[in-house]
Amino acid sequence: MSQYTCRPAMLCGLFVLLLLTSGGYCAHAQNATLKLALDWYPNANHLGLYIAQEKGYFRQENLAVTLYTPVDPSTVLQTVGSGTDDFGISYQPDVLLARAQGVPVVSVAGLVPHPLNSVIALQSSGIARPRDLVGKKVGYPAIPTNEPLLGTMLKTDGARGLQDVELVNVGFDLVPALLSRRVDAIVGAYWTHESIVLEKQGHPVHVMRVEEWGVPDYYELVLVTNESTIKSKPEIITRFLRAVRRGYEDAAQDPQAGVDILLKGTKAEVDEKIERPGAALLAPLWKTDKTPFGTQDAAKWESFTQWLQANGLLAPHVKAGDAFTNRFHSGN
Amino acid sequence: MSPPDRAPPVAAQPAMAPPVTPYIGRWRRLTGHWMPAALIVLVLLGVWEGYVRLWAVPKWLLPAPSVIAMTLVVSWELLLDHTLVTLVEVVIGFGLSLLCGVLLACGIAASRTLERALYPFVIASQMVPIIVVAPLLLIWVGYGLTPKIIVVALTAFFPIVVNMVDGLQSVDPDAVNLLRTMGANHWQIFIKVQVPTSLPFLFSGLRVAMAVSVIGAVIGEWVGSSQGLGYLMIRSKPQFLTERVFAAIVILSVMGIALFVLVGVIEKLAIPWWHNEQRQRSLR
Repeated sequence: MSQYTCRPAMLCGLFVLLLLTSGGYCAHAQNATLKLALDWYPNANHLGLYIAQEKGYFRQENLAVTLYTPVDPSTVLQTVGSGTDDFGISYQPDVLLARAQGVPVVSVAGLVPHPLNSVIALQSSGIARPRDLVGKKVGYPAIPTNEPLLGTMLKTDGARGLQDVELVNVGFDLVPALLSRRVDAIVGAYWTHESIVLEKQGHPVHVMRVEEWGVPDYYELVLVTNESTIKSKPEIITRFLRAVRRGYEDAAQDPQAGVDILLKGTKAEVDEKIERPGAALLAPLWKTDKTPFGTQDAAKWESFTQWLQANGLLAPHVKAGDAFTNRFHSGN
Repeated sequence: MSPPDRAPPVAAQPAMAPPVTPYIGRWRRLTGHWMPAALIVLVLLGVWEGYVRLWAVPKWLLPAPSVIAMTLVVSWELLLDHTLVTLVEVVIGFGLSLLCGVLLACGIAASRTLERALYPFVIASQMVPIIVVAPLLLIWVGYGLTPKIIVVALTAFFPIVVNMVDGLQSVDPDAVNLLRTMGANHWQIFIKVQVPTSLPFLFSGLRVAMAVSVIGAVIGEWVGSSQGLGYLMIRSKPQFLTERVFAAIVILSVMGIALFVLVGVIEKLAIPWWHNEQRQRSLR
C-alpha cells in the first residue's frame, strides 16, 4: 500500500515544489520557498545567512530558504533580474551598472557596508602606498570597476593615474599571480580574504584600502531582489530581512560561533584557517550603533554613483535613489 | 634531383582535366549548395527576432538579432581590434600544431617503438581538461601571446596527429611492393607512397583542428588576457552588454567558418588528384 501511495504523493510534492519555486509565495499558508544566489563560494561574508538558516530564523518566519552558489557567480544579477532567483548577493557597483542596462534589480540591504576590495602587494616588494606602483604591473580580474578604483588611488597619492601602471588581466587567480611574481600587486582582492591567504602561506603583505586613498565609501556586498518582487511580495521581503538581520547580529556578537555554523552548514568545505581570521575582521563592520543592520546610507549610494559617473563607467541617467531601498527595515 | 623525384605520385589516379563548368552553371551550383543552410539561418533569425519582440525580452537577457547586428556596425572598430588579436593567436597556434602534429605523426608511423612510446601520451593529452591547465600555463609562461598559442596548439594537434597516422598507415601494400621491386628505399617509399596517401587524411584532420583552434584561443583568453574576443566577452559580461557578447560570438563563428573553408580551398589546390578521383567516383 505504501509503495502504491508513494508515487502520487511524490508527484504532489514535486508539484508543490514547482509552484513554490516558481511563485516563491503561497498565499494561504504564509509559507514561502525562497532561493538566494550567493556571490561566491560560502565564506565569512555569508555568516549571518548561514546562522539564520541553521538557527532556524528563516523557519520562524515560515520561510524555506535555499542558499546556493551559482555555477557562474557573475550571473547573479541576471538571474535575480529575470526572477529565476528571488534574492542574490552582489556588489554596489554591479547593481548600478546592471540598472544602467535596464536590469530591474534593487538592493534591499547592505551586508558589508564598506569596501573589502583593496590593492595588495607583498611586503618584500617594498610597495607600501599607491605611488609605489608607478611603472609596475598590477594584476586584476578584468572587472571594469577595478580600473577607476586603482586610478583614483594613484591620483590621490600624487601619481598621474592608470597610465602609470600596467594592468594585467590574471583572471580570478589573483594570489598565484602575485606569488609567482608575474605581477607586483593585485587589485580586486579582499583585505578579509586574499591578504589572509597570502599571510598564511608565509608572505607578509601590504594592504591598501580603496576608501583610504580617495575612493568614496561604498557597500561591498548588498542583498538584491527585483522590482516585481518588491511590488508583489513586500511582506515576504520584510520577513526575510528580519531573519537575515538576526543572523548578522549574532555574527557581529560572536563571529567565531558563526564560523562553527558555517563549517557545519557547508560540511567543512570552507577553509577554517582562512575564515576564522576573516570573520574576526568582518565582525566590526557588522556592528551598527544606531540604525538596524542592513539599513543603507543614501549619501553613500549617491556619492559612489557620482564617482562612477565622473569616471565614465556609469551612464548619467542612472539614479542612486532607484537602486536601493530601506523600506523593508521598518518593521522590527 | 634524381629522375624518379619528378614522377607523378604512385597513389594518384592519372591526371584528368576537370570538366569546364560554364559560369552560369557554377553560380547555380554555388547557390544550390548554400541555399538550404542560408534558408535555415534566415528562418531561425526570424523566429528569434519575432520571439524577442513579441514577448519584449529585455536585451540584457537575450538581445534580438537586429540589436546584435547594430552592435556589430556601431562598435566595429573595437571588435576589429580584438578580432585581429584572436586571429593571430589562432593562426600561430594552428601553425604550431600543424608542425608538431605532422612531425609526431611521421615519427609514430615510421617506428613501432615510437608509436608505443608516444601514442599513449598523445591520447592522454586530450584527457587533460584544458580549462584547468590554462590558468596554470599563464602562471608558468606569463600573460602574453604565448599561453594562448600553447592552448590553441594543445587543442588542435590531436586531430592532426591521429588522422595523419591513419593516413600514413593506410598505404596500398601493392604499391609499396612495386616500388620495392624497383629498388626504392624507405625514404623514397615514404615520399612517393605514404605522404601522398596520407594527405587527404591530414586535411580532414586539419579541418577539425581549425574548428577547435578558435575555441582554444577563446579558452586561452578567458582565463587571463588583455586583448582578444574572449577578453572582450569577459569585459562585457559584468557591464551587462549581452549584445556585445553575442556580437563577439558572431565574429568567432564567422572566423571559424572562414578558416574552415580556407583549409578546404588549400586542400583542393594541394591534392587535386584526390578531388578528381572523388568527382569521377560520384559521376560513375
